[in-house]
Amino acid sequence: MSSTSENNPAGNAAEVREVTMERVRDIMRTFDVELGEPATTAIPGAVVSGINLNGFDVHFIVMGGYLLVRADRPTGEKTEDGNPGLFLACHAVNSSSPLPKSVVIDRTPELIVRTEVEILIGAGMNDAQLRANLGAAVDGVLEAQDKVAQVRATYDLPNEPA
Amino acid sequence: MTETPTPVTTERIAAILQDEGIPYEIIGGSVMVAYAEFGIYFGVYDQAIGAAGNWSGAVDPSLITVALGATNEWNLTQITPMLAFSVLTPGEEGPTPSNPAEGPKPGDVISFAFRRTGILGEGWTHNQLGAWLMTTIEQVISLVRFLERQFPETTTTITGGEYIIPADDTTNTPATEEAER
Repeated sequence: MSSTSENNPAGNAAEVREVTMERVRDIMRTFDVELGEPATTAIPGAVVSGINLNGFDVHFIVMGGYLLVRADRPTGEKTEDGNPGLFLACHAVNSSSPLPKSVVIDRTPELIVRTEVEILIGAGMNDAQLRANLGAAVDGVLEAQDKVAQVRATYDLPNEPA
Repeated sequence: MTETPTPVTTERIAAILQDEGIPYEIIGGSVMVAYAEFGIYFGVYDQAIGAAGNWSGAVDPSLITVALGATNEWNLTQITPMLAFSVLTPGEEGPTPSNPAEGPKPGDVISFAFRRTGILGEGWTHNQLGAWLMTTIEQVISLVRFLERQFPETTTTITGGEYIIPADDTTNTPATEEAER
């Protein structure tokens, strides 16, 4: 572990080292995005920070050797209606693209579409790697939200299941 | 001592699998890891590394609603890999996609596929590549156990062989994420 990194920022940037929420926030500032104050959650070791981008709540979570980037969108569809449309739309988008993943959160009365990218940070990253991953992840989760909404709109599933 | 990220190659993938005692084959440009229950292809592309594969179990198409729910449930509660499914017509030359507009024909099966993608940039260190490969394999094993529990009546494979679900239900703890926001 380098002990001279504080006096050698450039060397530090190239060093593959632990990814912390602080580093995530620093890198996101280079995209002109200021993440909210990090908070801990019920899950031990998890740190969350968020921002609203393009109308979506985007969260960054550091936990268990992973950095997760998520965009969540409430859909206005009621869970109790049992309409499979959003599930089919997420599945269609997942089937056609390798990244990110789209899912339906059906744990609450209103269905929420979540798009998510997972980044393995257990072996550390340097700044360039972290920046490339974060840039791709944020773009990806926002694009996937649009794709899911587009696909969903093409279904004609008014009152009957598929 | 720090490692320098270097370009990822199929040779590097193979070397790590070798060190871990995991049998593999190099097929085309990919490194394939195959067991009775699943196959994974690791491939290196321009800016990304991909793992793609299938669960070997064949599920009756009448269970398509269960398949949709199980797929969403896995994707919602597990970090990786990404799960999807399709309806296939088994064939002499291998399975082919069934026509969704026509609906499943007799003999068609539901097949589950998974994918994971990593962004390579200028390259990965040895530890980064090793961690990604091994967590992928661990997660695929967890996925197989999940699918076996979701579809306990599975007795055939997508290539027409026999699928045997082990009686022993030991489960490792997969990498999970919070189920709620």
